[in-house]
This record gives sequence, structure tokens and C-alpha cells, in this order.
Amino acid sequence: MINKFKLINHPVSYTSNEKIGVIHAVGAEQSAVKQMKEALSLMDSSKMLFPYRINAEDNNLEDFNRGLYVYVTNILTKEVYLAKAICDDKVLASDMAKFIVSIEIDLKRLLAHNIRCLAVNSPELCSKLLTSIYVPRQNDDICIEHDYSTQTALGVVPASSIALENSNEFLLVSKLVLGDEASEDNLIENFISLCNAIYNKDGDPEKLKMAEKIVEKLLKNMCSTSEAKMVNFVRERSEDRMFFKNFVYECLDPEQLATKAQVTIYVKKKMKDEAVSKNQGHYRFFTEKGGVHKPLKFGRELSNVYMLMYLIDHVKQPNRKQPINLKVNIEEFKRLYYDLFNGIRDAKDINHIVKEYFHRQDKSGNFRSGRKSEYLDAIRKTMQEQFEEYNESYLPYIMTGSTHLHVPIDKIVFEDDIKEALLGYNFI
Amino acid sequence: MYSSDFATFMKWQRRECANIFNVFFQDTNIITEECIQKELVFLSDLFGLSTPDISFGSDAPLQVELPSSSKDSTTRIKCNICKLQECGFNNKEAVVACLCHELSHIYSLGQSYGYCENEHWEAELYADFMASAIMTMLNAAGGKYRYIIGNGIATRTHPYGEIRQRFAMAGRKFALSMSKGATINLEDIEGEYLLFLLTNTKEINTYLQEHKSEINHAFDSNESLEIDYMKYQDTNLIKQYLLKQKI
Repeated sequence: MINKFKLINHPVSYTSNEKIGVIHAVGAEQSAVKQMKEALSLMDSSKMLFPYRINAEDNNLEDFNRGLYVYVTNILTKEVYLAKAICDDKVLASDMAKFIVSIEIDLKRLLAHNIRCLAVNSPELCSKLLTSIYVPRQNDDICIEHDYSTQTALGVVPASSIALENSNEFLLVSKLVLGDEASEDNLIENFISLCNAIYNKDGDPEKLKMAEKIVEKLLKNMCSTSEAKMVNFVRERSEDRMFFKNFVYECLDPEQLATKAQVTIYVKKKMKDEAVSKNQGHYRFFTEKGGVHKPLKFGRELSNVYMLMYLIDHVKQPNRKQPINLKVNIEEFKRLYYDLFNGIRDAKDINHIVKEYFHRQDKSGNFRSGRKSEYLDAIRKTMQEQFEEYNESYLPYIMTGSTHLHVPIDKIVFEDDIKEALLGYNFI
Repeated sequence: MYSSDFATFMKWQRRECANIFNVFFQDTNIITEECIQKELVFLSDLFGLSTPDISFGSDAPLQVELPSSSKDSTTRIKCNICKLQECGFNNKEAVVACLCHELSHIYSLGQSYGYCENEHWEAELYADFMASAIMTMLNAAGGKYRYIIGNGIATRTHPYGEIRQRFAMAGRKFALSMSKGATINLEDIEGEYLLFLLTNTKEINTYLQEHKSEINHAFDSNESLEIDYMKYQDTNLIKQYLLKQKI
């Protein structure tokens, strides 16, 4: 039985296209492999993202844990992932079915996220495509319902595209709440102001209540998405290279998005009377857009150091595109850690934390992957949540395993008191 | 052999026989509200769910009412015992199977795999597979349950009885392959269901297309049938309307 399933982002250069969809069943008995082959031959590949096949030759790889392994791609962005499922007992054909389903659910979620990125960043383009992706409920008898709340609509849902699709209704509701401010010329701005007014309860409560009901009703009608249709849509256009080129360029390319970035990141020193935070140390991060300041708190202490390191390096070397090699910069990283957590955390902690960053060892002495991905995930998740509220893309503001920050350097501000000290760090 | 032993043997013999005679005329019990409540508590524990509220008196034999808003998070089950018995769920084990089916829906709430083009059908097949496997593992009779679902007609929400019965049989077959006395592991059953679903997707979708074309045909056909309304009673509203129109 599968006890652990994971989808890991994998560098593209390591994987050839021929390997995509080949399932390695490590530790599976011959009879189970035979069953798996039979099952795969009966499966409807048109309903799946990949034509899966089983590799029976090297299923006894000793370096791997018992389980199932396969390389898969995001059909939209072409990113490669290694999906692995560790089994605690025999590897059975039913495990393979569960494995395939888990992969597809995760990849479909990623696809849906990408499509939403498209909606947020390019509403006009999305609006044209929506008719084939999002289907009004009354005409669709086979759909999966996604009931998005008004709050979510601010960032993630193709909110602005919905405004364009239902222009008359939204104009009426906007006029009800916003009064003369609502104009026919800028429906998208109207919609965002309307959602903000509803979310912040800014206005006449009765009118807001009525507006919220109407907006939710329209959202529900619009967002009854069929994931199957969404995937089909992407698959049908996977040969249309121009579409994907435009899509990736306009909506997912951090460099392109950085030119439109409006959020500023501030790094400030902790106020004297402010409580001590074990995760944040002596410095605080803030984001700002349109005069609104919001604190940025990462859940892991090393995420804070990591983010600070990248911000410093980005200000000092804005043209650098490669990520920082921590193994080379370990001493400088430790110095930054001491600076951040001086008197809050034990200095001995850092050695253990840095060791675990690269790899971990369990009780039986087996090596496991390090915590790097966890720290990066914490940053991505926090950024994503916060930037959704600004209706902005977070992609230029985060680093990945293979990229640096892309945000313009004028959007990174260090407080004057600490600026000199921070810019004193040198990362190679 | 004593007659009572013989009766028990015969009952054991027909426990998995899915035919109309056995379903409606053999091994029937009086079902009480207390009995259903007791079984619901037992099955909820088995699924690891909090026991849903149950109310008696509904239009359908058994239906699940999911939480309608974030404030109200209680799941309710509505039950109509008379209708249950009319359908053929007329003994304790058949009712347990039916409850199992509904609890499977609650257990898999929000889970959709998307291989079958109609998500409702997928959910029903999942519930049938689960219910049948769990019944077998509990060593309870499933003949009545399989007969009833096997005779169902296809609708937008429910697949053809034939497919449902096949999924139920697959669930039973899987449970029988498990060693006797093995603990019920819902994840294992789910894995087996997925395997069966993936290997039968083509067929289910063919049935779905057939169902759609049936519906379209029913709407498209221009044949008009004349109703002999005069044969109905005077209280019949259609007759009253047509007579009024004639006048």
C-alpha cells in the first residue's frame, strides 16, 4: 500500500521525452508487474495526461525505496516532475492505479492554477478563451462545481474576466455600491473595487449584502468549471505553439511580469517594544502597494534568512540569473543567520539546520532529501497568499531551485538604519 | 436436520442470490427507526466519520443532505422506511448496505477523479463498490442490494443498473480475495476501485454516450401520441384541462 506520495520538480535537462510516463515499479513481483501491464492495456489513454507504460526490466533498483517512480510533465509549461510513491508493503496493481490518479489530480491542479494565472494577468485574452474552459452551469450537465467565495475572487479566480462576460449585471451592481464612480469604460477596475468594498464591508450594509449575493451567484454560474474540459482544452492546443509561447511569455514568465510589478518589499528593523519572534528574528518584511502596508511572515526561520540573502544579493547584483550556491556561501549565510537571530536562537542551531538543508539522515542511517524545498515552499506559499490580495503576480518575487529573483531593484527597500550592514554581505 | 436449521441453511444459500423472488418475499424483517440509528452509529465508526443526523420522513427512500453553508457543518441523512421496504430493502442487512452506500458518498465528499465524463456516475459507482466490499467483509448478505441497484434505470445522476451491478460484484470479489478476518482498510478498497474504474472507463463512457443519445432522441422525436383522456377519472387534472380547452 502507498504510504507516501510526492511530486517533485525536476530539472528538465536531466530527462528525455522518451522517459515521460514510464513507470518504474521497484520491488514489484513478476505477477504484479504482469497485472499492471494488463491493467494499463485496458486503460483509456485518451482520458489521461500521458500514455503510461510499465518498465519491468529495472524494477529491482537497489538504490530506490520500494515503490513506484515516473517522470511526468506539466503539459502547459513543460516543466518536468518526478512523481514517487513509497510503498510499505508489496507493490500491487491497485497501487499503480492510485499512483496514476494522484499524479493526474496534482497535475490538473497545477494546470488549473496556470489557467488562473492567465486570467489574473491577461483578462482580455482569458475572456476570449473562457467560453471553451468555463461553462455556465445551466448548459452543462457534466461539470465539477467550484464555489469560489468573493474573497477568493479578488485574486485567483478569473474575476476580471467574469466582469467582462457579465458586463451588464456587473455594471448594475457596481453602480448600486460604488455610485457614480462606476463607469462603463473600465469594467475590470469596477469589479475589483466592488469586490474590495464587499470584502472590507465599506459602504451601506444592506446594499453590500445584496451586491455580495449577486456577485456570488454570478461567480458560481461562471466558475462551475469542468476540469476535464480544462485539460482537454489545453491538450487540444498543445500543438499550437504560438498560443503557448504567448501564454508563457505573458503570464508565467517572471521577467516579463517583473516589468509590471507594483508591489514593494520593505526590510525593516524590529521596533524596540515589539515582541521577539523566533521565526523572524530582528528584521521584519513588509509589502506595500498603493499605500497599503502588510507584514510578510514566513513560517520557517530559514525561509526568512534565505529570502533576505536573495534580496541583498539581488540589490547588489541585479543581472544575476543563477541561484545562489549555498555550499560556496555557507560562511556568509551563517553570518547573516547570527545577525538575524542574535540572542534569540542558539548559535549551535545553525550547523544542524544547514546540515539538514542539504540532506537528512533518519534513525536507520538512510539519507533523505534535505529541507531546501520546504523552505522554498514556505516562501512561495506566503507570497502567493499575500499577492492574491493585491491582485498581483508573485512570480517575480520568488526564487526557485533554478532561478533568482526578477523583481526590479527599486521595489526592494532596506530601512536606512540597516541598509549599510545588509549591503556589507557578499555572496558569490 | 431440524426444520429451523434447514431454514437457516436455505437463508444462507440465497443470501447472495439476486432475484426478484428472494428480494421481495424471503428473509424480510420489520425495520425500525432504532435499528437504523444503531447501524448508522456502527457504520459511521467504521468509516471514521462523525455520525450524521438522521431524520425520518422524506420523499426519497434514503438521501444525504450535505452541509449547506460554512456555519452549518452537519451532514444529515433523510430516510423513509416505507419507501425503503417498497424498493426491496426489507431486512436489516439490505438496509445496512444502503446506509453503507450513502456513507461512502459522505466519505468521498469533494473527491472527483474525472475519468468518467459524468462525475455523478463516478460517485455512484464508487459508493456501490465500497458498499459491496464492506458488506462482504462484514460477512453480511448483499443479494438484495445488488438486485435493486442492478434494476435501476440510467439517469443524469445514476448509471445503468448493469454497470452498477458489475462494480458491486467487483467490490465483492475484491473483499473475498482478502484473507478472512482481515481488518477493513478503506484505502485498500479505494485503490482497488480506482484500478477497476481505470480499466473500465471506456465502457462507462460508451454507456454515458448511449444514455445521452437516448435523451436527445426522446426530445428530438416528432412523433406525437394522442392520449385517450376520456378513459381517466373525472378528477384527473389533464382530463379536466383538455375538456375545458375543448369547450
